[in-house]
Amino acid sequence: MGKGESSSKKIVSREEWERKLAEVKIRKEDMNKLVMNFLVTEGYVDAAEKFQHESGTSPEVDLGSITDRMAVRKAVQCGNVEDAIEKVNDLNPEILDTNPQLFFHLQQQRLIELIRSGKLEEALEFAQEELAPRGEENHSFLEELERTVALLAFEDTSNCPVGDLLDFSQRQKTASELNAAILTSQSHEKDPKLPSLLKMLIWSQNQLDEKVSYPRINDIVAARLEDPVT
Amino acid sequence: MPASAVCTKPEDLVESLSSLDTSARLKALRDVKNQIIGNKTKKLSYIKLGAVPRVVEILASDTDIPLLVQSAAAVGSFACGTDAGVKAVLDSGVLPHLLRMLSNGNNKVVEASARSLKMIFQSTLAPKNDMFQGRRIDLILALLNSGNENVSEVAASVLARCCETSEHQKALADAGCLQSLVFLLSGSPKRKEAALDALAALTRGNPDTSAALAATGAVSTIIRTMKDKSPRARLLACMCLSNIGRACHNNYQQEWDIRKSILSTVGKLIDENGQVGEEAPGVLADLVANNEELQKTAFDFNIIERLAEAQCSIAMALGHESEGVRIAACACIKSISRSVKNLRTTLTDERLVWPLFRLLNDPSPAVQASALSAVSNVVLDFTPHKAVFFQCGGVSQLIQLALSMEPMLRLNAVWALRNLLYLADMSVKEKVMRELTVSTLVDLVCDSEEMVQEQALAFVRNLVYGSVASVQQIFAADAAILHAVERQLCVATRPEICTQALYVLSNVAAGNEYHKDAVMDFVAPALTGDRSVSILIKFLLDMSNPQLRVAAVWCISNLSFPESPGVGTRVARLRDAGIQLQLQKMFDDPCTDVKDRVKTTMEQFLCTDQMTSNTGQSVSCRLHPSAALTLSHSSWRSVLAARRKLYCCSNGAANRDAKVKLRAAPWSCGVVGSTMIIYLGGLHVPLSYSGLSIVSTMLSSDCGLDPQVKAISLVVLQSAELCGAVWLIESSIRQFDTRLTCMSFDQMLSGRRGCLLAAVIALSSVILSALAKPGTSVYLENNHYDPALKELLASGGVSLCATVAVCCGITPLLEEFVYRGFVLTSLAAYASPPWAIITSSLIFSLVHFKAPEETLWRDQLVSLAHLVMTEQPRAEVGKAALWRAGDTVGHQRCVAYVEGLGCLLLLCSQLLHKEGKNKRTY
Repeated sequence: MGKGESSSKKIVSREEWERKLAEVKIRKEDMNKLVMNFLVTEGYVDAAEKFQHESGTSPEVDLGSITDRMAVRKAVQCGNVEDAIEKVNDLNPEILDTNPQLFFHLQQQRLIELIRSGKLEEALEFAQEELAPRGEENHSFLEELERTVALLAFEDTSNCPVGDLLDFSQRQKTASELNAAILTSQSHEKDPKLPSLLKMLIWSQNQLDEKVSYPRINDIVAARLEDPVT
Repeated sequence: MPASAVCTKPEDLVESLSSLDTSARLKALRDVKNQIIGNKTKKLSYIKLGAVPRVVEILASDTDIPLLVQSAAAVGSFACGTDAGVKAVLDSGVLPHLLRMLSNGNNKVVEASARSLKMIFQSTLAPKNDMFQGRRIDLILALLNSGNENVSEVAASVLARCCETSEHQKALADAGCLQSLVFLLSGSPKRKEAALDALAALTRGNPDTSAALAATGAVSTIIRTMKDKSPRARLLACMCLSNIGRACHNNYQQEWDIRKSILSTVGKLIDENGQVGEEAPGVLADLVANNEELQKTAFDFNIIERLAEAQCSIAMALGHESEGVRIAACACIKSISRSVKNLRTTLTDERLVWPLFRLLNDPSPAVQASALSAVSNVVLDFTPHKAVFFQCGGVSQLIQLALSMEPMLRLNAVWALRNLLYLADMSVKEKVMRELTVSTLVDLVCDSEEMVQEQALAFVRNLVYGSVASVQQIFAADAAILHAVERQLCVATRPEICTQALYVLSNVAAGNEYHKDAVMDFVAPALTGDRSVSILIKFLLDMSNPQLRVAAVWCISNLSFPESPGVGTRVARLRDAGIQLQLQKMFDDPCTDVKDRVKTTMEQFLCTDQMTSNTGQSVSCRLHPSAALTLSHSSWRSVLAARRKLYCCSNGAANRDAKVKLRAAPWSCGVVGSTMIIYLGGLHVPLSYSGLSIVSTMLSSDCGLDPQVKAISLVVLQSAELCGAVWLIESSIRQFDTRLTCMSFDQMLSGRRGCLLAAVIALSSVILSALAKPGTSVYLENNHYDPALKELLASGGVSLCATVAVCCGITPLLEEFVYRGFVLTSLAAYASPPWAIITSSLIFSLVHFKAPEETLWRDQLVSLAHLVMTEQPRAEVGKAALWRAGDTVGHQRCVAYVEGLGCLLLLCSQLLHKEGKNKRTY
């Protein structure tokens, strides 16, 4: 306020800004597509069905495949990795066959689940049988493998340096990776379009700040226009 | 919950694959499939246990849908990732069953089988030709039009892998494949990529299918795809467009706009990670390969920056960790460097050249071979990189690679060396030869690979091209290289090899007399009977390859090149070998190049015939009058002066002559030195009557001998010196020519040991003479011989005659023979003509060192000026005659002596005449 640099900036009043915003016509269908894209990508099958019913927007993918994908995701989130692998293989055997990193992470998650349930001998055997060869094939896996196997060394796993592997967040991470791979195999975007639109909004506002003073949106959730700084 | 893999033994699982119970089979199949997916070790162990045939058996005989789907998926997984898997699957004969499944009513079965097919066809082991038998391809085409996205995608990618030859491309295009694929371009990203992949495969290097694709109107869609989100789609679009662009040239301006964007798109794609980054340099290479116009116009449109941008990427790609990327980057540089313009401008970037040179050390032979082929373009003569290449020790690296066991590496290394020597100067050649060594080169010429032989011969061809010194290199180590080349010429069957070998001989034949004679000995051997047929006839008769005939005629042409001394003999020998007859038959050769060469060569033959008959006449008719003339002018002093004058005159003649053609030197450097020292020490110092000699002191002293005895002894001594010199030089020639290694004296004469020996002899003779005559050292200060000779001349008829004979006959002949025929000839072969003459004059004046007023320098200057004023014809006659006198190597040696003597005397008299006019006195 009253700073030298502000005086050089052009000021756009709230009324003018709103008038200009109103001039931009956005098609309703496009907005609907954006919403549908979000629902499909995030796997909200029921909501997508309802939305399709109400707005008549086509989801562009078989909603059945969303159910499958969600089932897989849920299986990982529940710690039932083996089941998830079978489901993915039924969906498309190519996914795990051509994506060694994802396959390794699933096996790693399986080991973590074994350790969590206290089946230590089985876990050890599994690590030797399944994970060690993967580490041989690709050395970048070795470090993660070591970290995971280190879990076996601690009595109180909740309080050890690699304890974060037992967190729910680890399951979530694996589930997201698997979800993204399935989406890619179905020729679908990994991420919904809405978040990238928000990123673009913030970027353009930052660019605009350097030149103009205008009614900014500071609170993204409420999308309220602030008064321009004068 | 399904049984854990860890709990069930693999053997049991494989057993139950053939279980009679359907549900047990299905369960086992599922378990196997789930275990092997993503797990290479499991795949291999199940293949060992024989699971694949059992799985295929289910596919072949069962009808249950879930079983079929599972078994097709299992087959696909076996075939994914390992070649062993693909082999096992193919060996089990699964292909017909999978293809049959494609027409199954159930969508899931079709999808699973199509996916398995795709897996199989991703491997290089896939039987691509099998797909074009019968109706199989129709099945795949039907799948292309399937409503199921996955199925059509799989069909497209199978097509992309199958389609390899132009027959495949044509068959597919005729079947209407292009339209279906173009339709798929509008589908999902995956399907689009697969369709583009197939289109790129269909149009690769095929103008017909490319034009057909352009005609479908898909070009605009593909151009849009160049801005696709997926890098792979962008790359494939660029591939398609570059294929189309090569086939059709319609709208010029528009086309270039497109090409520019292709170029920039591909350039950016090189930065991508993974497969796309690996393939992009290959596409770029494809794009600029063999299209000078494209490169040129690209420069005209000022997209050098873009190329430079791509170049940085290439430079990075050269250091990429993936082998494929490095190979592709090398191929790209190779293609770019095909244009001289690029070599001189864009490729001057050191960031590009250094990493390329470093790749010669790459652990992978494939990369090395690829780098070598790029290097061979980069080191060509007109590039600025030659120096850089030498600096970083590239030559020794190339030579290391030329010794490699890998034929591809050897071939490319020799190729690079060959290009390195193309039009190279002598220092480069010497450097390379020093490191390569003669024996290695001989091995390469006789390599087991024919391609290597050809390149090695081309290397030799470049090596001996140019100056006489270059040609001399092939005679190193007893002419081992030349013999190897000749051997190849006798045994080789490939015309390319023979052509290169003939060009080697042709380049050698462009050297001096000795070099020409060496080639003659091979082409028309003098020793093996009188009517032997030349080896060249074989090549002249070869109608399969005009290049071969051109090379052979070139060789003859160089051998019969006029204005070289021995041309008469050579032409006669070539005629005896039946070559002239053959050439006459070739006047109407179908190849114009051959025809022109033959014409020129025949003209040279005729020209030589005329020349020899002319000189022969002129010499014979002048012989008698000259003798008469000489006798009438016999003042010894004037004769001496005239002789010196004549010497200079002949030097001048030699100078001009040398400009036309360098003289032959049948002596090696070491032999010349040692022979000269032996001559001076052993013959000249003790026997000669002038200058630095013992006889001169003997003549001057009042030893009480009768002047007549002195005169006669002078004649005897001079004759002895002449005979000694002739013998010495003759023997040195013989030693060099026939390479007698068993003779100890000849052996001692040759090389450094010979020089040493000669020096010892000379020194000891000087010491001996000094011991015998204490006053010897005084002769250097006094001008003794003039009064002594005067005395001899004044004392009666016999002594006068003897002295005149010595001064006018024996001594001039001797000195011309030694300094002109031997020293100058030898020097001319190793130094440029002016230097050879100056050096030989220096030697002459040093040996005949006298009082200042008679210094030869002044004489020589005067006579050089005089020579300029002399009319041309006489100089010509003198030249021809003197050459013959000096040319002791010739066949008619005795005749040459006599004729030479006559002409010498003739010239003396003529010059004396002039001397009188000029009123110069001595």
